[in-house]
Amino acid sequence: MKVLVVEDSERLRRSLGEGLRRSGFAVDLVDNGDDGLEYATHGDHDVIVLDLMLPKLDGLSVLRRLRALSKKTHVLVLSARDRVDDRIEVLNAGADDYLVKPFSFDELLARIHALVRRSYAQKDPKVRVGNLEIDTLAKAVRLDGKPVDLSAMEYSLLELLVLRRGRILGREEILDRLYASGLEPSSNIVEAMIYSLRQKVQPRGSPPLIVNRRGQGYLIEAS
Amino acid sequence: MRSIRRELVLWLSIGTAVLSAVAGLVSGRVVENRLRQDFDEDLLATAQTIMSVTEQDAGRYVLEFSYESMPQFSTKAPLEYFETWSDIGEIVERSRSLAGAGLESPFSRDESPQIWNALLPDGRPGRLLQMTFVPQAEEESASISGPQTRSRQAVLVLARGRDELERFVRWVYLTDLAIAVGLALALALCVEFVLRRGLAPLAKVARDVGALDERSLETRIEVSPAVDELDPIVRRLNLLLERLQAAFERERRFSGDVAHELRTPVAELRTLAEVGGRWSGDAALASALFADTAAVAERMERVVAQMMTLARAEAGQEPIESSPFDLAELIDECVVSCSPVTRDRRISIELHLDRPLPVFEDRNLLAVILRNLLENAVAHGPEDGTITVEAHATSDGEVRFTVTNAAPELQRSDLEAMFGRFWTKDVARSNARHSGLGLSLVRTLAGLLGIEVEARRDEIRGLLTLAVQLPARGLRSPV
Repeated sequence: MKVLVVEDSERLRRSLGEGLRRSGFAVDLVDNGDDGLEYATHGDHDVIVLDLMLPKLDGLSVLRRLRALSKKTHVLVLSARDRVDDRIEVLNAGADDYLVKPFSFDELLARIHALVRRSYAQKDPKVRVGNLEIDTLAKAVRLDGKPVDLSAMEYSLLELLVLRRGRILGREEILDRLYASGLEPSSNIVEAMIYSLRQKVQPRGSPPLIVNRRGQGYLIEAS
Repeated sequence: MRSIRRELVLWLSIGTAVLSAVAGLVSGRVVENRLRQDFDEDLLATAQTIMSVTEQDAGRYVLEFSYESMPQFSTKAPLEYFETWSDIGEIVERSRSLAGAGLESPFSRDESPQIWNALLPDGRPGRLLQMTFVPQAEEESASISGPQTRSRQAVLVLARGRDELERFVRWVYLTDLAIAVGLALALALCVEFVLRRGLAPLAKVARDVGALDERSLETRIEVSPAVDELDPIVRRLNLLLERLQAAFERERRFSGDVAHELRTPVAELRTLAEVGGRWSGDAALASALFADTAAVAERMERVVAQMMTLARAEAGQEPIESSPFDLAELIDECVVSCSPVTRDRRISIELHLDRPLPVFEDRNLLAVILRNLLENAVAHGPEDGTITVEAHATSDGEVRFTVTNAAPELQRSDLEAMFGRFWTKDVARSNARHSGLGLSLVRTLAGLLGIEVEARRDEIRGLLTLAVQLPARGLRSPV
């Protein structure tokens, strides 16, 4: 899952980025409204964490322009303004959630998870696909009730495929979702991770969980 | 609560009632006197009529009285009475209306008319007239007896009921009283109406002022059409409201700014702590987070210190202790204190100072002013740029200190706004070292010291100059 953080306070931005990355998110960090709008418009983020008081272009304008462009990415607004009027204005401008500074990092994480689940119409944080159970909060996977040891990137890829089950995800889309913008992973990283995942979550002799559609991409069947 | 309108109505009504009552009393008394005088004159005229028909003939009294022409002395109500007495005290004649009864006896033989009040035989209050007169001698008798015949005196007592007079007098007084009361009531209504109409603008002002609270300070009191007497009050009130609104707005903005300035570093601290705690085993991460935590705390400390100094200065609690010192030395110290940042940002500072430059000011407060001006230039001037600091004594004993740096993005409208609290060129507080309180503090402290601070912009070269003008203090001797 990929999160865009638009925050002008360098230390807050850095610590949020570090915390979110370590929590399994691919994170893009920008420090002003202009760049925030640019990343949000062209990037493929699951959630945008947006501060209101930003240099160059304020957060509320970023939000309004995004919605005017019909961009439906979920936006969580961070602000030091705690008046009800401020929250109403921001929510009416198209924000999906509002968190007043100072906030708990755990709460921020929980709200980001909730927004991600909402993106995929998934109310339960635990998802079952066949014998596989994925706990999106604990970032844990069980196969036939037994824990499966996955790397952070393997888990992120599996979660992406599971939450978007029934849809083919191309290689570029997978890379966009799993890596922060600007990173250049090795050319066969997706194939390598798919191979490794199949080894870990697909019992021998059973029908393939992750299907390869030649020339299109990968998917997990919806049923 | 006192009401000007109610008091005016009350006292004007009471005053009118009292004046009307006094006027009614006086006029009633005049009318009463006139009525009584007319009554007595009429009584006298009647007496003279009776006297004129009383004659004497050879020592006898003869009354040629016609009851038909004066029926009130016989049977016609209201009855009147008379008696005629001889000079020896015998009754000569009694009116038929007395029906054998008598009137009070004459009380003197005084020839002048005597008039007094007494009860009439029929029980009514009456007015009695006594006159002593000499009845005329009959013509024949007079011509026969000649001058040797002695004329005898007679006494007439005439009585007339005064009940009607008294009723009329009472009616006059009652009418006067009614007029007084009526006038007072009419005036009260009239005054109430006039005052209500006349004081309507005042009542409107009172209503408008009464409806004011901290949420409606943008309201202005309006009286239309303007009223001469109220205009100065309304203008003062509106001026006061304007100031109050500005003060409230300033306080609200200040509270909001303070909240933001403190919430953001607190959010930073909390996230740093929580992220550090969550991955506490990562020593490299913890080290980076601790460094950030210290930097945030340092910034908060600076903001709080500046706010405290501002609050103390504005409350007049910042003591001023002026002493002679060399301003050039103080400037050198301030430049040195900025050197870590000037090094980081590769900024050079050019100094053009008179040396020595003796001044007589509060050294500590002036140091805060100079340091903030320099820090402002160092923080907001472009990297690799140059800051020019000048300080010179003028011929009239003043000292001028200026700090000039490049500020190409600054607008003319920013020159005054930059002295506001928490003002930054950009809406975000992205500069971690500066809170936007520095120049506000400079202006407040300058006001406290009685020195001038101004900002000027060189449009062509895009330079900002912040200038401090120290007034002549009468000390320009070497320190």
